[in-house]
Amino acid sequence: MSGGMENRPKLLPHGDRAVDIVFENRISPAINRRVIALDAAIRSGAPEGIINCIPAYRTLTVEYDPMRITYGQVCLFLRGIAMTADLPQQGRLLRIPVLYGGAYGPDLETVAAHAGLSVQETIQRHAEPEYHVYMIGFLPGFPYLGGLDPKLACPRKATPRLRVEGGSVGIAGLQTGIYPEASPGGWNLIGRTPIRLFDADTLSLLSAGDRVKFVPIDAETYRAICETGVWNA
Amino acid sequence: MTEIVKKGFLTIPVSAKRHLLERFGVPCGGPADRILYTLANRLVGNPDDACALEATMVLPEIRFHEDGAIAVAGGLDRLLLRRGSETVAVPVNATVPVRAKDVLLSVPIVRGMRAYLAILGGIRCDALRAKGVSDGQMLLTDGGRPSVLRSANALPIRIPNDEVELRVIAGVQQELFSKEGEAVFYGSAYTYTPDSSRMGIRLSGPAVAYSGGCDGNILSEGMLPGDVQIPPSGQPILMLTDCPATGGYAKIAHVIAADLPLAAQLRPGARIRFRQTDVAWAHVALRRLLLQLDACVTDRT
Repeated sequence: MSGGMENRPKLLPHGDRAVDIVFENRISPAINRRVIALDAAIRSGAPEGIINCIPAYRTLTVEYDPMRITYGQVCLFLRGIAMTADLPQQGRLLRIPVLYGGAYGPDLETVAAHAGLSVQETIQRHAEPEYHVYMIGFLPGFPYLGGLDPKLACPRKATPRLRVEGGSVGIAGLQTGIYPEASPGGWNLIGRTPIRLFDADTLSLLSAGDRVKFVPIDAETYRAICETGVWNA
Repeated sequence: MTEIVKKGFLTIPVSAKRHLLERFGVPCGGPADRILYTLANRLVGNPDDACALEATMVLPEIRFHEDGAIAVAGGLDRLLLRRGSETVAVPVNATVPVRAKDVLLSVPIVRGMRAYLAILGGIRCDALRAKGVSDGQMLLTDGGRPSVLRSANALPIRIPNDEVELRVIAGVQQELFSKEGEAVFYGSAYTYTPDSSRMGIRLSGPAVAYSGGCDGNILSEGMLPGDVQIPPSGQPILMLTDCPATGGYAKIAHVIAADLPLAAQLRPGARIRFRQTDVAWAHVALRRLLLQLDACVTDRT
């Protein structure tokens, strides 16, 4: 399906070695899917000199080598492909195990209290939706997830923690996400996953366009996954 | 094998090979100044993208464990090589044959911020997330004999002193800045602050204002070295090679590829002005710079 005139993306020079394909300025799975469709189309058949793409919420940054292709040729190619790129198949569904609460989710009760829910209801509501991975960024493997139950929205902590452990699952405002590695952070931590989101061998578990579902697990399962490394996502 | 005896201030193995993992949030990485990095590799006869050392402010002290050759490209007048009980001066920006047990001594970089040390055959390294080397670290190298000795008659870039003008393309979020904000950005000199790194150069100077209704935050999107972000403080940040792959502040401008090596050679305290150009002129400037790089290397007989 091609986009009509009214929602045709704009092309903007992003410096002298990239062009941004820019869609409507809002967070929407439908818009993001068009970004991902274009990304896939470009990667499956781009002219020599187009090097790399970075998909984001509503933009695709397309990097080129100006010594191998001209700016005009890049724009011509991108305009053509933007008209014809098909919407992608539904993304992969990955199930991420999470041990909620306790030492691994020190802010679970805060989030529950803020929502006026019990801890159990909070877990249930967080594990209920199928989240859409809009993009990966900020840290290697960090997914920007959409689809959080608005009832669970909770402001960032006033004082960020100096260290949030890798695997921590958090909520900040209307966003939920997973820290792939230890880093300072201000998100409310509600649990932790034992699986790795990024390492040098397998690289990123998740890609833009994937779907994610959180699966509550108990401490024993958490330990077993840590020890065996086995989890059928 | 090549031994880092003293790491100096900050010495990092870098390669211009691309991992293309920005889509997974991995910074681009690689040499901050791609021109002098490439020059060092060419002087020693390596492929343009071989892994070399990027030294900051001062060269590391290095002991060679096999016969080989090196080249250092950067703003130094000479290198010091200790061979047995003697210390000899050897040329910078040229092929330098070395013998096993030779020690390259640590000397300060006198002009610019970064120099590149290429070793014949390249260093075997994992360029995915390069870390600085530490004292005593062994680098995997092969040694060998240089097939030809080369030197650079002049550096392809003029290493800036304390004031430079960087050419930029108008930013993808230019419309989020007020007319006054834009005038301030292009009309002021900004100072390079010490709170800078390979991620980015934090500048200080007159604050750049957004247009009404904009708080500087945008939906996160792809970010590239050369981007100039304006966070809510109004103080510009010029992103360098280790910048995050995505960012959420409005970008007022993008430094062109031909001028990024100059930015990478500035030191804290330097003053930066920005001047707008367009994509076509930026590409002319890049082609010219690459021709200068080709032309500056000559074979010595």
